[in-house]
Amino acid sequence: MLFRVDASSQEPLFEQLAHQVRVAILDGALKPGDKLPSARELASALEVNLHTVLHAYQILRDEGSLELRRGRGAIITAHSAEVPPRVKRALESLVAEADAAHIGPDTILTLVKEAFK
Amino acid sequence: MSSHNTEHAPQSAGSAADSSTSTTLSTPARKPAHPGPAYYVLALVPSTLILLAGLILPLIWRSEMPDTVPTHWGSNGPDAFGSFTSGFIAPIAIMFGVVLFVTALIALIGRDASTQRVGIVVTTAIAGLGSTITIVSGHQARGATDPASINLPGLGMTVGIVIGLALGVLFAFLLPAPHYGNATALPEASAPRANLGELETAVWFTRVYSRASLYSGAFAVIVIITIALVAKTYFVLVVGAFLAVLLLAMFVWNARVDASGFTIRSSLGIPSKHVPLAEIESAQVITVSPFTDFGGWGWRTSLSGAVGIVLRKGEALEILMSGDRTLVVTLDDAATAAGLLNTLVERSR
Repeated sequence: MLFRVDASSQEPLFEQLAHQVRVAILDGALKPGDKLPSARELASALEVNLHTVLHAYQILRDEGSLELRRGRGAIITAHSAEVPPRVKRALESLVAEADAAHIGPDTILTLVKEAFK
Repeated sequence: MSSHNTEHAPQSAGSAADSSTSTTLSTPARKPAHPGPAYYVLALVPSTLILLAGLILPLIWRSEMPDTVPTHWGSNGPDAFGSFTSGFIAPIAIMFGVVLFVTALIALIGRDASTQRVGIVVTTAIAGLGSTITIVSGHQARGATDPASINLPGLGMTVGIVIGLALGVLFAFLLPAPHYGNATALPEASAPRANLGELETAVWFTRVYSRASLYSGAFAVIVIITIALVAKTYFVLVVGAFLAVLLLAMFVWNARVDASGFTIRSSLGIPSKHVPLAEIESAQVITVSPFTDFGGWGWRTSLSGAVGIVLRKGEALEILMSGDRTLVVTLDDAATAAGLLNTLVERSR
């Protein structure tokens, strides 16, 4: 998968990385059991501080989507499953409808969160 | 070889107008890289010396041998007989012919050092095999009265073949790392790009493997080991073990694109290959068929000299490099990898 960090973005670098892994898990590019590159390897390839990558990995571990083992690397956990295609399609049509009605992501997020209550 | 700094495209009106666009008009002629003298020395000298040993030892032992010697062995010992010449001189001559043929073939297509190294292993191992046969059977023939009693003991054969292979690997490592020129061409305009921000860095990782190849390979290993155990031909176990290692070395890889270029490493750590960004001209997505394009699966060299790590049919990343070299790797999402490489290349020139 593609990892990218944008130094000109306001989002912290570790959050950029964590976000990309989350998206990759949700859209099925990363599957349970897949191994992420070691923090050292990723940090040197992206030319960022090792602690930036470790921070991102720790966030993902705390969220339960990544398992960190000393010497074994970072592995996507079994319960971090891909979003079912039906939900994805429903999401796509929701986004399309929201776009057509000129409703922004923040409003839609609020509505979705409300709907779950 | 090291003329990359002096190579300039002919100045044309078109290329002078805008130097930032792709320069298809003024692309310098791709000068193919060729094997250096070290390749010829390492491919020919050890193998010739090994074959000479396989000729000289039987010549020394000749007076102690019967007039008729075996020329061929079946599963129940020797099944064809002939003179000393057909038993000892002919096989060495044939193997020498094969060594010359392989050396010449690799000289034609071996633009990449990895191909040259394979050539060195093959010529040395072939010489080792030829000399093992003549030395082991020659040793058996000393003092024998009945030619039918001259056998090829499995232990002696195994030791000889393994020594030949090990020497081949050793000499292959002695081949100095080649200095390829830096690429001067820019990625083709039609090739994919990544949309990277000015202050954005990116890296792309993937695991390259083929489930079908792994399953069929594992099946073959199990069959070979079963045959070896049932038929009690323990010599065959060596083949099974070799195949298992080959499977792990050739059919699971980790690939990476970053600011240093393209890197691919086998799951065992070796073999591996790194293409520095400076040597890359362009990267693109192609479709390959391992059998038609490369004559098989794994780390291959095609007849046109392209190096391929080809595990399955379909989508592949093709990297064009300086010295008219090409690397092909079958992987998913090749467009992302090619796009990132092209963008990094453009950024670095």
